[in-house]
Amino acid sequence: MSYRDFNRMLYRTILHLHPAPFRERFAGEMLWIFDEMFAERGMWKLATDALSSLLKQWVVADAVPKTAPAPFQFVPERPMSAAILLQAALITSMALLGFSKLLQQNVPLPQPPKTFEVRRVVPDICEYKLRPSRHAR
Amino acid sequence: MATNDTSPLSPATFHVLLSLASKDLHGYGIILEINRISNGQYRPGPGTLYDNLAKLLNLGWVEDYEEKGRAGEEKKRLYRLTEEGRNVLAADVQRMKRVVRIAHRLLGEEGGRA
Repeated sequence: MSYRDFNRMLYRTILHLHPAPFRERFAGEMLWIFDEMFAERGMWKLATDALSSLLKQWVVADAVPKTAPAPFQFVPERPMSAAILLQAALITSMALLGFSKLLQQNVPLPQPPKTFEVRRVVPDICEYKLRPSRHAR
Repeated sequence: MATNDTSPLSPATFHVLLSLASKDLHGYGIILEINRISNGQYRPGPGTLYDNLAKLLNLGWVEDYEEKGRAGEEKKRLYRLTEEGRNVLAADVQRMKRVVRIAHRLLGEEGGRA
């Protein structure tokens, strides 16, 4: 398998993870454009673009359902297929990887402003107790 | 969906609509046309393009149809601007003109003060 074929297979996998209506309508055309643009753009840019589209499609599909079920409507329960579980696992691991990358970044903690420095006005209680004993000597 | 002066289009949406203003194009043709009209400054990837096309098809600003090709040839889908899409694009161009006019006036005044 050549480098190009391997990348094409990866790209197809990303396309396969898109929601079914989007995939059925546009995946063929996207793959065709991938073939046209691969040589000049490279895999990294095309994969980033496809991953951002994947994220947008799932977020949009979840945020704006085409037909919301009416209250008390019967929702058929379907068993989760292996493909759906694989998609969920991949998307979750991508999100977790991104989150862990964020956590690894060394962000300095905010320091309190110096103008709020507390100054001791009353003498230290230990010093206060020691003073009479010094005079007693 | 109607748009008004207060809803500017995103750069990707604007460029997709603009690329379809003069002729119907297939997906890769839209990318090449955007690259041409932006003097090579902007070239969206397929993901960005089809995200926008899906949105524009849903809004009814763009419609698609199958190219009439020769028998045996692979047929491609072409995209064209609808009347509503053309109106939206024209409204956004008008909005930009106003912004440019104001910017020129403000920059002129700033230059005069300096």
